Parts: sequence; C-alpha cells; structure tokens
Amino acid sequence: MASLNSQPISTAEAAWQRFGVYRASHQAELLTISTGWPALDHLLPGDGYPVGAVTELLVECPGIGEVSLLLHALSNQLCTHPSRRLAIIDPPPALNAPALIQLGIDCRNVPFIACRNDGERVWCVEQMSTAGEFVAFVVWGDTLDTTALRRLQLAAEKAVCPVFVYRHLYRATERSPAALRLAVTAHLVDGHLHQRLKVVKCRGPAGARIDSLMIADGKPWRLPSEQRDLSSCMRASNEQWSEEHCDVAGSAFSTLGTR
Amino acid sequence: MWLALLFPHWALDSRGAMASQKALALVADSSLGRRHVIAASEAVVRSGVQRLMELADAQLRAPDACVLERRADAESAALERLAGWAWRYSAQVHVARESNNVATTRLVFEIGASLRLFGGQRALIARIQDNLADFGYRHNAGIGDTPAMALARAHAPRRLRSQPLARLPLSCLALPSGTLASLQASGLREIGELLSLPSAMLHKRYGAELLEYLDRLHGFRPHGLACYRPPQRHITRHELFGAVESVQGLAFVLRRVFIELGAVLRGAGAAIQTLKLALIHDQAPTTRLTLHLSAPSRSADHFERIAQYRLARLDLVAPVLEIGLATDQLRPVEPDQQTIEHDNSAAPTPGHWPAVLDRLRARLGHDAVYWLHAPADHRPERASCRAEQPTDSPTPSAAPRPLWLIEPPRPAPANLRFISGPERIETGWWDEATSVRRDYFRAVDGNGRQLWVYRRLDDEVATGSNVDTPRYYLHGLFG
Repeated sequence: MASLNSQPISTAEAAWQRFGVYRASHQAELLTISTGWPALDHLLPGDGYPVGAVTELLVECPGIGEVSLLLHALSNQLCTHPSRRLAIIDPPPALNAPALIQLGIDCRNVPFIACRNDGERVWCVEQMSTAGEFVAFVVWGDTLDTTALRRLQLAAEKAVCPVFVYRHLYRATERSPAALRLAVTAHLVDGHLHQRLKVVKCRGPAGARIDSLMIADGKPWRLPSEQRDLSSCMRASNEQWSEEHCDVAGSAFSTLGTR
Repeated sequence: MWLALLFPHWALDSRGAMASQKALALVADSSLGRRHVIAASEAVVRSGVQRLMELADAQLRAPDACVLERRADAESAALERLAGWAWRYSAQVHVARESNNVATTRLVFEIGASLRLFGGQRALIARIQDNLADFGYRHNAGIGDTPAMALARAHAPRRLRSQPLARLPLSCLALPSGTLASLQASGLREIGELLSLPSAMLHKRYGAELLEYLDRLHGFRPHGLACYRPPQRHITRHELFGAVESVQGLAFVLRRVFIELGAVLRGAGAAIQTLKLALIHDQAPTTRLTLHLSAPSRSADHFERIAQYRLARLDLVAPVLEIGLATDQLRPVEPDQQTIEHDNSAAPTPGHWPAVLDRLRARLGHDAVYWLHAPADHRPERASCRAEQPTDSPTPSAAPRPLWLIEPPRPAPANLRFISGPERIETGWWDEATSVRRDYFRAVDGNGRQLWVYRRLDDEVATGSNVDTPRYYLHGLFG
C-alpha cells in the first residue's frame, strides 16, 4: 500500500523522476504494510512497515506489548491473504495459541521454527524466501551481526515481504543495516504506565516518537486517534498529558505534511 | 521400431566401477575350476586382456588391476533397475540374460510409438546414450523393425551396423550353435543368403524352429518376449568400493543412487514419500535413517539435498560398506500443467513450500518445525499445544488470554495493580493431579508489564478464613 500523491506531475518532473530525482514533498514510492495503527502509520515513511527490508524492534524489557503491536498488523495481512504464511523463528518459549486466535491469526498458517544459533536462523529465512507466499518473517535474534542482517535484507527482497527482528534495546547504539528501527520502552508516570515507541532510524527524518500509549482495560495498547497533522497531534497530547511527556516529533525538521 | 541394447561388460558396469575410475578386472569361477576374466574396464582391455582369458594371463598383462569376485544377484538387481529406467521411454520393455552368460545381457524396448514425443529418432538415441553414459554402462545398440532384427544389429560389429539386414554376418542371429555351425559349413556367410533359401528346404533340414525364428525376424509372428512390469516398491542395495569413512564420501555415492531412483520414478510415473536408508557396516550394527517427506516427490535433487542435511547431523560409528535403499509404495502422480504464458514476475512460484519444509526438517531436526493449536481444554497449560502439522483449533473462549504463558507458574511479584476482575477456571475435578481451581486476574506490575496472575481456591480453603494475604502466582504475560 504505497502512498501516492494525487496531484498530476508535469512531464519535466516525470523525466527527473526517471533519473531518480524527486521532490521532498512527492516522496518516492515505497512498498509498505500498514501497521494497523493509523497514528503510527503517519509517523513512518510510506505509511507502514517497509516491505522487502528488515525492521528492527528494540525492546528494553520483553513482555511490554511489543509482539502484540506487530501481530496486529500481521493478522490484518493474514486475513487479506488467507493462503499465505507467517513464519516465526526462534521465539522465546511458550507462545499461547488461544491468544493468537483471539488476535485473529489462523494458527494453521503459522509455522514455528526453533533454531540453535544465528547461522541457522538466517539460513531458515533464506530457504523460506525461496518458497514464496509469506506474509512476513519474525525473528528473535539479539546476537545477529551486520552480515546476518544484510543476508536477511536480501532474503526479504527476494520474498517481497518484511522481516522483523527483535533485539535488545542496547543494540540501538550499534550500527545496523535495517531500513527501520523502532525502540519500545516503558515509563512509569504517576502510577500509570506508558509505552514509548521511538523511531530510531527510518528512510527519512528520524526521531519521531509516540508517547501517548497507555495500557487500557481492553487492550495492552491504545494509540491516539488519527491526527492529520503532527502539530495538532502535539497540541492534543499537550492537553492530555503533563508537560514533560509531550515531546512528540522532537526532530529539527518542520512538519512535512501528510507522508 | 525397437531398440536393442547389449551390455557386454555388465558384470563390471553394474557395480558402478566407472564411477571410481580405477583399472579393474572381474573374475568368475568357471566350471573347469580355473578362474576366467568375465569383464574388464577399458584401461585393462587396452593392455591386452580379453574375455575368457585365464586370470593368471590377465594379471601378467595388467598387474595393477584389482580383482573382484562376480556377484550374480547384484547383477540381476541392477538389471531390474535398468529396466525401470527404460520404462520411462517405452511401455514394452524386455530384459533378459542367459543364466550365467554375461555376454547375453540384453535390454530391448520399443521406441517407435513415442518418437515424436522425444523429438525424432536421432534425438531419442542421443538422449538414451547420454543417460547410459551417466550411469557408466558400456553398451552396443541396434535398431530394427522387430526385436529380433534389432538384436541382430546390436550383435553385429560396429562398422557393419548401418548396413541393410541382408549384409550382416550370420553369427549375429540368435541361432542354436549347431544350426549356426551347419549353416556356416554349408558356405553361408551373410543373412541375405539364408533368407533367400526356400523355406521348405530349411524346414526339412533344420526343423520348424528355424522357420519360426525367421518369421519372428521379419515380424510375421509375434515376438513372444516377456514384458517387464515395474515393482510396487523400490528396494535396492549398493555396494561401495572400499569402506567409506566420511559423510562427504557417502554423499557422493548417494548422488548416483538418487539419480537412478529419480530415473525409475520418472519412468514409472510415480512419487514416493518415505525413504529408508540403511548404512551397513562391517562389525557394528546397521545404521538406519528414515527420511519422511512432507509431500510425495520424485526429484533426485530434492532427495539428495534432504539426505545431505540429514547426514550432516549424523556421526558415522564405523566405515560403511554397503548402502541399502527402500522406499514406501510408489504413488501415481500427475505432473503439473503449465500455463501457456509464463509469468515472469519476480515472485517465486507457490508450491515449493513442501520442499522447503523438508529441507528445514532435515537440517534442524523433525521437531524443530511445529505448529501451535488450541485444543478444547479450559486448563490454560493444556490449551496451547505443539503439533507436527497444521491442525484446526476450535473457537477459543471469549475471555482475554495472555500472549506468553509461563510454565510452570511462578510466585507473582509484589505490588500489583489489578485491572480486571476474577475469571474462575475450575476443571479437572475427576483427577487429583490435574485438577485446576483458580481465579485469574489481570494486573500490572512495577515495570509496566501486564500480567496474568491467579489465586488458588484451595489455598483459601486450606488457610481457613485468612484471606488478607492471598498468594498470587504468575501464569502469563500480555503483549
């Protein structure tokens, strides 16, 4: 679901685009998968997780909701393409099947693969990318190095689907060839807990953040309703939360409008 | 149109000697008590060894040659496999051999019906010869309108093979030796001379068998050869030259074995789903490996890769002398129909998933790939099970379930803030060990994680009315 601009392009612009030159407001078409949360979609370039590339999710403490965040998007994809599979490689033990079914995932299309080391994890993804018909690959690989991540990137391009890698938060300081890096942390404020999702690296200006996630009774995540403009998002969050936690989109660039 | 193949060196070729490229000679005990050479490799033949030469003479001419004992049963088994290969090209296959006479090993099959399928006579012959070269079998080929004619051409020396039938020497015909000697003593040299004699005279002198044979030669009588039918299972044994001590050496031999298996399966139009390999050692008990495939397959490349991954996990206890291969029942398979327009998109074609699954299981182990399913059980620890293949799950309960289950349940941390109220799960009352009577709550701990904790009802009962400090156990994590 790429984001296409509705304005017609002049012929001169079309010629420039063939050379690979684009205006910053007409962004190059990126193939993405919708994240399932419209507010997160607006933060990411191309409105979603990039297809054919590696997305890293850096987690400080496992179990704060990082997996259900992802599975929400993937269950939508599985419903749209019922014949495709989702491969989960080397998860931490004891995923609960009833929870997966409640999220809307059909467990018959989800093979789990247990590997013993990094080499096997990358080999699995490469083998499965030759088979095709996969919605995504989800890998838990804290110790993957840059070469392994590049191989995952090549596999993702071959299979035309995203690869998600879960790693620990301290890897955020290391360099990585992933196209999108999201850091998920939790903060205790006033006895209420918020998750903070920060875009560490993306194909565009980085540093965007969503702070207003909180646990609600119904689901572990609740994102603010869809906001068309980032500045109005800032205002809304200003009204809701105390000042220390209102810094959304702390980057130096001015808002680019809808992306 | 029939094609006849003679294998003069079958006793050696059937053992796969060409693959190892050594100078070898093969020997059998003759009835006279002296050992003769039955078959020899090319290098040895060039040094002057001929068939039926005595062993001592042969060893003078080729001192480096390795001497092997003849194994008639292995030769017969290999001949059966060859017939299986020929089944691919024709539905009328005849394979035969006189009891112990290696020189008469022959394979005759009909090719006229499918010439157009294979692209013409020349293309078909070239293809057959390539296949035989891959197997390493030395052969003489002849083509004729009837099996007897094709065999006569195959027996002829190479320079005369393209001549019309009338010009071939009389010794090419499969006549009894007495008849042949008598005809040659009468001065007949070529087949044409025999055919021009009046049949009444031949009948009077040599009896009706000669006339019947000549009728079969011309095709006036049916050929009367026994036709081959492929077996239901493919069971073979392959002997190795020298004990193989490493897995890489085994992989090399298995490649040849699987090529042959693939040819047989293609010929029979079948596929298999289970392969059993038996590695036979000298002293140690046989190592048996079973390769289960997730879908019926007949591709030799696939078998080879699966076997390689499986062998990589194996430690050989002793050098391997023989390899035995057994398959399950051959299942008929229909090949996939291809569309007329080939879709050259970048996405790979679907349907490769069973092959990929086999490779993953072969390298990582059969249990490394699993699916989850939720059987209809109220007990949370039994509600999520692993299965070997995708299984249906009945609709689960509407109550929220945690994404991660912590087994066995741990004591919950202190300061919990409860979110949602008790959900009572009470079941298994019929069995003391598995009975579950719990109240489940959702809570948030100090780190911000949503937990699924429970309180046992039995604790309450046991400690009487002291419910000020109920003990909570952590059973799952949400998110």
